[in-house]
Amino acid sequence: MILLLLLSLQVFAADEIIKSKHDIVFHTPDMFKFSDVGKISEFRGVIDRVYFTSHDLKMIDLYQFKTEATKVDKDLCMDYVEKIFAVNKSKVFEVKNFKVVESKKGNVCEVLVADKVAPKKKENAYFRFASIGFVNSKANVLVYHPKSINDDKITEIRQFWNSLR
Amino acid sequence: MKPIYLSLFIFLSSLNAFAEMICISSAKEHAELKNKLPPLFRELPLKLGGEGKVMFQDVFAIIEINFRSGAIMLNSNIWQGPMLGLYKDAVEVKKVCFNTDKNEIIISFNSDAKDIKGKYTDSAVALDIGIKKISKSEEKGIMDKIYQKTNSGGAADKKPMDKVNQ
Repeated sequence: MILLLLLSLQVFAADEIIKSKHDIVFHTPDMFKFSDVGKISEFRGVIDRVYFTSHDLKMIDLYQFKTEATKVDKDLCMDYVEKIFAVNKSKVFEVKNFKVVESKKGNVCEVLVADKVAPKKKENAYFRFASIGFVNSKANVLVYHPKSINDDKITEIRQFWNSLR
Repeated sequence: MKPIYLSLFIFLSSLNAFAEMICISSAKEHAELKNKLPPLFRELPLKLGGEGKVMFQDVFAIIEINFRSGAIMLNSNIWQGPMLGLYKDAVEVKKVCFNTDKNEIIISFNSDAKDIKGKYTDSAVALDIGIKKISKSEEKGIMDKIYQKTNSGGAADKKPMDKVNQ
């Protein structure tokens, strides 16, 4: 009973942070220990897409930034990418692709960041893929950890962005 | 303040100012400063592990400090089950510093992420985030527990997680 109460309180708290039409469970760093190791203070937690049993897009890092900006543009997106990955100082992370696309919620930046030196093992993520845009007036950055990236995965990522509420 | 106390204060402050701080920010620096580093940090990777419970769920973490093409990385492998399965991440470390007087370690990041602090001895390291150095057998123990729990039903990802290290 206590467990159910605690769980419902946590879910209620998490619900305030992000919602989706898809079946997700959101885990704040308090609920998902160690997930915030080495992450900036704008990290809010991990979205678990529970409908995937095993998929490299299953778990997504969520960052939320305070900003005066109201529109998505390259400067804003690259500022967030720099804050999260410090690509300008990095020996490891490099921006490979940048794009602004339209979504149901306005423009979204899509930034592909390569982990240039990830050891060649099948379980490793060689990329980070960041979707950056506004949802309910909040600047959200969703960071995926794909092993590879292709058109199907990008379509899937866009569908998920459109599912956010 | 009496002159004697003032002198003592200045003397103690100067001692603190000369506290030896050794920092490494790359594999090259590690090689150059190797002999000055605390024994446990002379060879990397250094594996740190932690176990615990969150909301009655088991949590196991193996966090590794290692080199990757000259850069220093912190590789996290966290299993929190049965709800979540395995979460992996790799973040780039700016520098790892050792205050040899206080036996203190400070890990800072390229991003503005909060520094991680901890203490070490010749044979142990414990970070403030709740993880400590683990031996190979302890690492195997953690992996065995993850494997057992993953395969005991209810896990999100039923694949055996035989290799968590990057």
